[in-house]
Amino acid sequence: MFLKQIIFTLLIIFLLPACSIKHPQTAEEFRQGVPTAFMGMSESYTVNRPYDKVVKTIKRKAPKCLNVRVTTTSQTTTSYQVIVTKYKPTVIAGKKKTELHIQQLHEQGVMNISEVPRGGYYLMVTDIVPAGKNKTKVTMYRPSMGIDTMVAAIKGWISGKNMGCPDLTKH
Amino acid sequence: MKYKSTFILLCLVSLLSACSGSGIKPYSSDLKHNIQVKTKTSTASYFSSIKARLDIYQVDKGCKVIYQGSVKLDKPVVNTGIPQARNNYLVFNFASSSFLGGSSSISYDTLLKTRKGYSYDIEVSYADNIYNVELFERGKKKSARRAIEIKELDNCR
Repeated sequence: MFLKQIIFTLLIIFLLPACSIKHPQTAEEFRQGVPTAFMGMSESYTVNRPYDKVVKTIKRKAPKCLNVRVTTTSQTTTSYQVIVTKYKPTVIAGKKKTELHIQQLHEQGVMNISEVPRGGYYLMVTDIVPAGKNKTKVTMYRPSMGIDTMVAAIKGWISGKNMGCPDLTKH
Repeated sequence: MKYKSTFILLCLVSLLSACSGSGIKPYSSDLKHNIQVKTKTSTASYFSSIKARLDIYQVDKGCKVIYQGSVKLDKPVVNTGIPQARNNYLVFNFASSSFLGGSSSISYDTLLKTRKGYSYDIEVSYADNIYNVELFERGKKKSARRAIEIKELDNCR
C-alpha cells in the first residue's frame, strides 16, 4: 500500500509536462496537457446507451461516490504514515455535452509541490456527448495507471452495468 | 511478584483503553427487526481482507446525529431493528487491510426515514474494489419491494 501511494503520488506529479512545476489550473488546461504528459492518456469510446440516461447516472453517482475523504494508513517496522486525500467531483451537464471533472487534494501526508487549483489538482476529466440515437461518446483524459478503480467505476456507470462506488483507497 | 502484577495491570489498562478509544460500540436494540442486511464481500488476494460494518445513528429534529452503535456485517444476512417513523442515519464502513500493506477504510452513508409497519432490505457488496449499497422498502404484507434512493443527511428536514 505504501509503495502504491508513492507511485500514485509520482504519477500525479509527472502528469504535468516534464520538468514543469505548474499543474493544470483548469479542466481545459488538463485536457491540453494530457497528450504530452508523462503517463497521461486520453481514451475515447462509444456506448450503446442514450445520452440522457448516461448523464442522469453520472449526476446521481458522481457526487455520492466521489465526493469523499480517504484516509490511508501505511505502517512498517520503521515508518508510520497517514495520508488524507479529499476528492471533489464536478458535473457540468448540458444538452449537447456533459463534463465530469475529478480533483484531488492531499490534506495530510503529501506535500503539494506547486500551485493547487481550487478544489485540488485535476486528476481526471471526462467528456460525454451524444453520438446518435441511443449512443453516447465518452472521452477520458487521465493518467494511464494509478486510478484504475475509479476508471472502472465510472465506466460501469456509463455502461449502466455496474452502479457501485470505487473504493478510492485502492488505486 | 509485585512487578508482575503491575505489568499485567498495565497490559489490561492498555488493552481496555485501546478498545474504548476506537469509539465503536455494538448496536443493541429490543425493537422488532425491520432491517435485513445482506452482505457479500470478496477480496482479490489471500493476503488482504475486507470488513464491512454498519454504524447506526438517530437523527434529532435539528438534524444532529447521535451514534447508537455498530453492527458487524460479517455474516451473509444480519437482522436488526431501528426506530420506526423517524429519521435514521446509516453509515456503511468498509475497512480493508493487507499483509504488510497497512489499512484503510471508506464509508458510504444515507439517511433513511423509516415508516411504521414497513421493513427494509439492504444489499451490501464489495468486490474488485467496488462497493455498492442498495436499499429497498417492503410493504406491510411483505409483498413486492421498492428501491429507495440514497439520500444525503441534508434531506433530514
